[in-house]
Amino acid sequence: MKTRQGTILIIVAGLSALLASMALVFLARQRSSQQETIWFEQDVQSRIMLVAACSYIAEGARIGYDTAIGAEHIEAYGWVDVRDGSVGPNTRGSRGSQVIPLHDETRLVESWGRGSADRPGWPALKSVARCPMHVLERPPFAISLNATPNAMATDDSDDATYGRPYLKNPDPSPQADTLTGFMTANRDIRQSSASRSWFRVYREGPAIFIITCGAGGTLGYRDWDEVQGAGANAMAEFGEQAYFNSLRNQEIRLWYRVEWDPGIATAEVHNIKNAWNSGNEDHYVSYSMNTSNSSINPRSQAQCRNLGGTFRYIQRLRVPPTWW
Amino acid sequence: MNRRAFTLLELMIAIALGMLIVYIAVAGFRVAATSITVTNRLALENDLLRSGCLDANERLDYWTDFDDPDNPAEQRLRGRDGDGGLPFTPMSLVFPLTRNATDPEKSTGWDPEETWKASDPRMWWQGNVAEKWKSEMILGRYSIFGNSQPPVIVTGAATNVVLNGSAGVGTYGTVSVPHEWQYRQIWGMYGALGYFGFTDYLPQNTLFACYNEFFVPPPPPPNPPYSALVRETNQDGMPLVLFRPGSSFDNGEGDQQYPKGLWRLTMASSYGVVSPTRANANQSAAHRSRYTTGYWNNSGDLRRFLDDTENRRPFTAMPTHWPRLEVTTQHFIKTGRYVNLGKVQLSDPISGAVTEIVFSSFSTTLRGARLQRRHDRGWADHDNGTGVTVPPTLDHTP
Repeated sequence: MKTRQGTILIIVAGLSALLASMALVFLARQRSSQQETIWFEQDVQSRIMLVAACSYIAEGARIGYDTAIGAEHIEAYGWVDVRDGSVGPNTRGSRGSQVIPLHDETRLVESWGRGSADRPGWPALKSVARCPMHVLERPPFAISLNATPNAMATDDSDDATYGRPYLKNPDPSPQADTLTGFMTANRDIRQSSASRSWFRVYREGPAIFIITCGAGGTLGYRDWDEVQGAGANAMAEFGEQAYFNSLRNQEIRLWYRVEWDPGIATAEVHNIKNAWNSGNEDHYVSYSMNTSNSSINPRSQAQCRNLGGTFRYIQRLRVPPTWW
Repeated sequence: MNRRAFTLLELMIAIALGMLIVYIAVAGFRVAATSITVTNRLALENDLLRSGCLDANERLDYWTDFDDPDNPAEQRLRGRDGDGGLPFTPMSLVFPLTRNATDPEKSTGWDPEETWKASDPRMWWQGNVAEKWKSEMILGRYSIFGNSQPPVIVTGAATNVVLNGSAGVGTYGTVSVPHEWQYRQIWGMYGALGYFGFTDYLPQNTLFACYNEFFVPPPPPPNPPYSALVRETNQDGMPLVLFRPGSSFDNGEGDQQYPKGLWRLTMASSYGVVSPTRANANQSAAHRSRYTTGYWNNSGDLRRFLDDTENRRPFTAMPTHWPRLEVTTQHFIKTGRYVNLGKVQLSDPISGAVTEIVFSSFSTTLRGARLQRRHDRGWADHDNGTGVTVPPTLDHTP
């Protein structure tokens, strides 16, 4: 009797051990697969940052910057000024030919490391723009995702509204309830989007930039020295060097070199044809650049007005350069 | 009487129950094993797809499947022949730089340091934007404002240069033209790297037309040489290949007769980098072709486009029973947009099922890829440190 009980125990234990080992291998495999998925996601995330960085450079060529000249952004004329070829971005004075720099290479306000400031502020030559990317709770001028703010009533008990497309609400609808709220932002960071990715731009030459794309939690700081150079608030983000280094070791960084160019579209007959095509058309209307076949009239409301320029080349760097 | 035994009934019940338990155990084990096998297989396929996507992105960033700097056997796109160079031909072979510090208008060749400032008159296209390829010159002879081969000798009427050609205007004799640099850039780049490189290198707002020496092709022999056809101009010296509807460069859409920019040239057709896996990829003519990818294309057009430009490679050596993974990269331009396309295809040798992921990547351009490579061989890693010298790249003339 004892022998039979022992046999069953051994068989059951053996089967259980076999199943357990298979389950363990399976779980380990899934764990490994999950880790690879995280790396893959980080790789994709960092590549998205290249798009964001190039958009930032293109827009930064024209949108301009806050200066002491005025409270609003001052429009600029490109990283290399299209008027006279000087280093930009520059704005204008009362006359269009006036060149007023929006950059200052002599004023050192940032640091590569500990110690006194040794780097000019953005957008000066040899300066750095560090851009941690996250989603705000509500950006300024946010539009609601509600696609049908004026849905027709389907309740046939009310003859006054049933089946009628009343335009009671603005379409699209603002995300905020008030005009002030619509025009301002709730700058709280959505936690699910925090510390996931960033980009950083180093202005190597007048129109040449080193872009660093990152997916991880370092917020775009190059190293711990730079965190220390940025001051107490930056150090408080990470607490201690070991934690920063841990984040650094877990993130992906990619380096690219790009050259900006002011050229956008060709001033050819096709693009300006409608200036004389019909007497009542807007002379500044241009055919959209993204239609496969244009007819008489522009087909896209957006008209694809790229006012920020294009890129002469994009070059992935195998190793990080000295300055980035 | 020994009572320590089973009755027959007990034995039968015990055996039946035992068999049931064993059957359930075996069945359960088989299900578990099969599930794990299937899950592992799916995990393997996911791993491969993931690795394939990562690999495709890396290839798109470094163009190593079009030109491997470390492997001369994988550099088929660096040659040249009578009609020009290929996408990875060193610029020193097809458009070498000779700077003229005194008069930059007279500089020739590709200068990788040139910034193409919009304010510089050298960058301004000085021609007649409404000039037709048949060259009626009713608005004047613009080749005297800019020409790639000055001086221009204007002797008046020229006849029989092109079909329906008019008599021409002006008898000015020998004319010194003020601008020559940009037209030389346009015409030089036409011959340098193929059509894709031609459009990739010049600024986005380039008007792809220029003024050269007036050239009448000789009477065509039975098989006319390509070079002579390329050099043919209208009466004002504008190369017809760039804007005659239906030429190898101009898609002819709308029968537009005048010079065109990038959007118009590619709204109905594409230029692409021919895959080095194609037999004719080392011939310059292969890289001077347009592909009909617009609204009037047919299956044959698209087949030729895909056959020529898709660079399809197995992922890596893998066990034969594993799913087969292929990574395809492709570089082309369509509707003014440069496309770096990655395609990852997984095919299961057991079930025959095929899974494919296609995506476009925002990544290194052709010029960026050439700047990654040394002029001779190997990589030219960029560094901006003080005193650091970056070796000459494919774009430099050492």
